[in-house]
Amino acid sequence: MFSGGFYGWGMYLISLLTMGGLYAVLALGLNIQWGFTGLFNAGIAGFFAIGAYASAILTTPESPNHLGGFALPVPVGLVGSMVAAGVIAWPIGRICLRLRSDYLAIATIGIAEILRLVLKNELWLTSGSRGITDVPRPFESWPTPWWQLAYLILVALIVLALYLLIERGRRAPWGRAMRAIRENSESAAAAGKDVVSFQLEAFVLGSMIMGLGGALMTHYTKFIGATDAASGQLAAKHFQSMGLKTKVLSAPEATELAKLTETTYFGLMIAWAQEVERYCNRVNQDYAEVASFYDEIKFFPPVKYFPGVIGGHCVMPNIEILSKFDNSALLNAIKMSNQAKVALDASKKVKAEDRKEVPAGSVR
Amino acid sequence: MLEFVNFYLIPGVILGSIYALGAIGVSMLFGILRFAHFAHGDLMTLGAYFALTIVVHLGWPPLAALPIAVLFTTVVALVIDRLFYRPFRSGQTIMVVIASFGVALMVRSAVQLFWGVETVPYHSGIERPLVFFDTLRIAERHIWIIGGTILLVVALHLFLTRTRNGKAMRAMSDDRDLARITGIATERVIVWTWVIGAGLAAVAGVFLGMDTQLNPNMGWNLLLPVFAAAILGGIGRPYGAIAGGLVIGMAEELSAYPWIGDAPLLSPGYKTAVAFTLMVAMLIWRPTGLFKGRVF
Repeated sequence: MFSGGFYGWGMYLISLLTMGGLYAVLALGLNIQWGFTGLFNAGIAGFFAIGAYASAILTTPESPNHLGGFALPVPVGLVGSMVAAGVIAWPIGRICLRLRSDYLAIATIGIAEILRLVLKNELWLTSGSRGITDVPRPFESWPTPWWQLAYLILVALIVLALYLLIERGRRAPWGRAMRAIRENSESAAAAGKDVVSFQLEAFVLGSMIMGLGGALMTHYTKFIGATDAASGQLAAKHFQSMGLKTKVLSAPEATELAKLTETTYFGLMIAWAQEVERYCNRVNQDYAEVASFYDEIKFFPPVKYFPGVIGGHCVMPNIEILSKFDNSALLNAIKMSNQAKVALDASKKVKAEDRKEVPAGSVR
Repeated sequence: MLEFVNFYLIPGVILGSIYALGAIGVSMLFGILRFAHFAHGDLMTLGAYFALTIVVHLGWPPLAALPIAVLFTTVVALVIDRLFYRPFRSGQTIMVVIASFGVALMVRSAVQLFWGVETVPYHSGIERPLVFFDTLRIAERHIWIIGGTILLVVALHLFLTRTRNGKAMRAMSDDRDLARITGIATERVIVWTWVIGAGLAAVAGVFLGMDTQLNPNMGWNLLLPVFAAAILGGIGRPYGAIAGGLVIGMAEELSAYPWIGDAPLLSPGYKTAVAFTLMVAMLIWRPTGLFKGRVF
């Protein structure tokens, strides 16, 4: 139906304006905090993320990967995002607002970073770095150019409504009190204004708007994670433009297998090093000397592996996952090699302790 | 016990040393220039990458490349100060803070542009840890990192207590106006502060690169723990920053030790959260830090 460069430019403009509108929502939130009351909140990303996750959890269909999936309508998600951001902002504000400019900036960045770690690590809540997929998008059933346009109009209306509300508040006695606090909090206090509660109001309100911005973003992007080649390429392009190295695999299963086998490959290399070490031990030779010869061979992997015990949180658990999926003699060999290495280290330790107990001069 | 020393305590001390070197600069800049320098982490990155160029092109070891990296980073820092911070010095502090945010982004983008976005090591290959008393394991590069930090801290101590410039620096950190009245050339002190701050940041960057690998975000990721260390030690207190760095580094590593039962006390995913929690708690309940620093 549509064709040519003009249509492409139009689509690009729409997505650019939508993003601009989302940033405007965040800026309006920050304006309440910084512009009205002079609180420099540098942890915007934290409240943005809370809003995004809250709305995603409320509106997605039931899922075993994360909390809920309550399948509620999108407007409920938007309101929920504001409530969640506000509820979390309140105690943070209570504690942090006594800090001044630079210190408040540092503290809020620290708190945003803690929030990020929680969202990343609490798998039951957010499914961690796998993210939440299937977030519903308003106007989803509409054909291609129209849902984008409708979403842009929705975002623009929200920006307009927020602006008018905030502007109304700014001109009201409430806004005048806020600005008085920003200019000189002592004289505002002397005039009978409760400085702390005004600041807290501004902080919570601003954070709620930031949460709303996050929710609008998550319903717009829907999810990152490719289901088809085209959207995968699009995401890859986007990440590459940000300077990240990106590789697109054709299916989620391929991505998952790539992750599992990558760590297993690492485990295999170490298990091989363990095996070589055992052979070295048998003839009383040094592993490093034997392994140094590998450097001469140009088509070998450039990194030599050190025959330690395979520990950590990914290599062995991933081998277990792969083993459950299908049994493999090679994978069993890695597991056995690692157990043998544990036993070897333990016996070395025992020998070392034995040696200590032997009195000097005695023959054994 | 030995597992505790080898896998928790020694890594904690190494991380702490790197934090301490960064925190000294942050703390002194905060004390003398009165602003939180958000580009400090990216100065570390820059230092690490200057050294990388020398390591790659001349084949020198990273430690030999260190002095040149320090020199280049210091020059860059002085140019940045002249161009982006000095014009705002008489205005509100928050303006300089935001300027330093911008500088952080510029430096990081420049590193990505010139050196690429890949993670690269100084050297690939294995290094066998040295084993002492049969069980105590420590890699040679870690001995260099700890030894280098001790050396630099002693040198800094001598500079601050024995030289005119060092004393002027401490005076200015204590009371800027009083220092100016007594005839201290404040701009020269500021130059010296940058020399020490940026120089130590470059050292911290190279040490971090030696310990792990280099990537353009390495310094930015370190920035908040470094701030935490500076605040914990007390703003404007170089010795406090050293203590703060060690405490933060060890707190991060030791929080993952199985103190109770077999499971880690705190999931290792939350390591950095320990630093931030300590920092926020200090800011709120004891903003002067452990060493009675300044609060502005």
